[in-house]
Amino acid sequence: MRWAGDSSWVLRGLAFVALLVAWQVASQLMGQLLMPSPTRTVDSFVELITTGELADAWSETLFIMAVGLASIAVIGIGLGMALGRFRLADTFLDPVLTGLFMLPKLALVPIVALWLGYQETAKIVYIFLFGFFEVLFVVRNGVRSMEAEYVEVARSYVVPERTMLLKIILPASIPFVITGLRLGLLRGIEGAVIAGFFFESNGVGGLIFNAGVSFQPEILFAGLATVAAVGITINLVLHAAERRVAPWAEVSAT
Amino acid sequence: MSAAGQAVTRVSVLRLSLSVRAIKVAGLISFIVLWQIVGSAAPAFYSSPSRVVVELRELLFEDDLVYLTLESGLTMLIGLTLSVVVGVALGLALGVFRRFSIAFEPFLAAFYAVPTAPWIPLMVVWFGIDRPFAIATVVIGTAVLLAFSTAAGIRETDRQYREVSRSFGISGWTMFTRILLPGSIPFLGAGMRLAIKRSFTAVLIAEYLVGLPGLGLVIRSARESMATDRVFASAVATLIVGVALIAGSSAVERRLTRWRPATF
Repeated sequence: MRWAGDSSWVLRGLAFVALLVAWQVASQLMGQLLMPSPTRTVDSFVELITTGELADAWSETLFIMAVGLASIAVIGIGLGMALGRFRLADTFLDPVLTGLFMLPKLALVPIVALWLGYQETAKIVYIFLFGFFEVLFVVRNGVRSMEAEYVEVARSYVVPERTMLLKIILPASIPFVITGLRLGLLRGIEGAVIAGFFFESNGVGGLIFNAGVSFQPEILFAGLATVAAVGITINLVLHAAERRVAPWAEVSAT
Repeated sequence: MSAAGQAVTRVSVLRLSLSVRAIKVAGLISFIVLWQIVGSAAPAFYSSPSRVVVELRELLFEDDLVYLTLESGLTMLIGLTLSVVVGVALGLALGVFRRFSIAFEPFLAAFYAVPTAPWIPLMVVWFGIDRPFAIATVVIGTAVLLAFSTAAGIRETDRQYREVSRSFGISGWTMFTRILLPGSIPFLGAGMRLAIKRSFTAVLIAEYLVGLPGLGLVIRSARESMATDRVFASAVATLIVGVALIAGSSAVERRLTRWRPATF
């Protein structure tokens, strides 16, 4: 690793400066109206913070995300474990669940609107549908792969079902659960933004949508930057958790 | 194992997979029957399979479903082509020039962490409300993904074949064109499959958002009409196109990885 350590941070710093310069040049070429300069973007970012607009948008989004993701976690993990253990039920439900998984979630917007309207409940259900199958399938496949490795052995030692669940299946499925949650969370952010586009347009999705409609790219940039920050944070935290809890596991399915 | 033993195993495997298939078919049929029953009780809420079939026929023969699907397909095709050009070029630079990748990869990773949909309003501001903005959305959503898989391919190939190439006196340009480039193609295949899936979603959302003709517009008009049967029929149509696309993209991946075994 010749370039590890200090020198790589120098390179990254230089790259950052180069990107800023390129951005500045682009904004002069395209005009402030289409491509607000870095300083102008920072100004509008600060303004969004001081007026509380950004905090309002994110508190709405984080609330519906939290409720949606909590239900994804409970139902997705629970059902994923159940399907991983009970092969018959899994096979029976597989075509329908796979179909729903493959269905582009945009097609669910009119159905959710039809059933639940445009308010919070609709958004939460939409986020749920966005991330649920991701979690379900990762957990199910994980539990299923465990069957061959541990459960057979445990069964041959006549371990009771209750002990099997508490001492073998739950601990061994933690890595899959964390991976599933990471994918579900990332999908959940996307779902929350899209919900802001297509349902009641508030939250950070609404902020971005309205900035587009009212032609304010500097607000768009600010909104995108916060979405990126939340996405990166979730990814880093749960990646670290994955490595910490299960350093042996290689479950990353994209 | 004796030949007879193998035959027995094969028969039992076949029987097992047959019964698995039977259970799956039973699951699907139960779902359809259940939907039909629930739907007959409250069609305004749940529609029903028979109503969806009628509506699908109308979508096909009166509302240009095929034409609109092809419109979406064309946007995806142009977008993905551009994206492959941009992504592979960027990926080669990342894979070959170590300092370049150290400097820029964190920023690209940050960019990659943003989902595609939030970019769409910005693309509308920059490119207007015609096809180019949807194409740009596809490029924004897939180019970095393709760059990362190309770079991974270059690095992996380099790691595995560097020594053997050197001992055959291969280096520089020949190494790049004869070893690294072909070696990275299977990795690009895996990226392509994901990119096709992402671009489909991106195009649908883009079309829905501004009303650009395409499959996304079918969903949008279903929502605007709020006619239950149309809403469900548009979802079923989207599912069929999506499944076909996933099958197609797996074929693309297999084609790109065919010349080399999966583990090497």
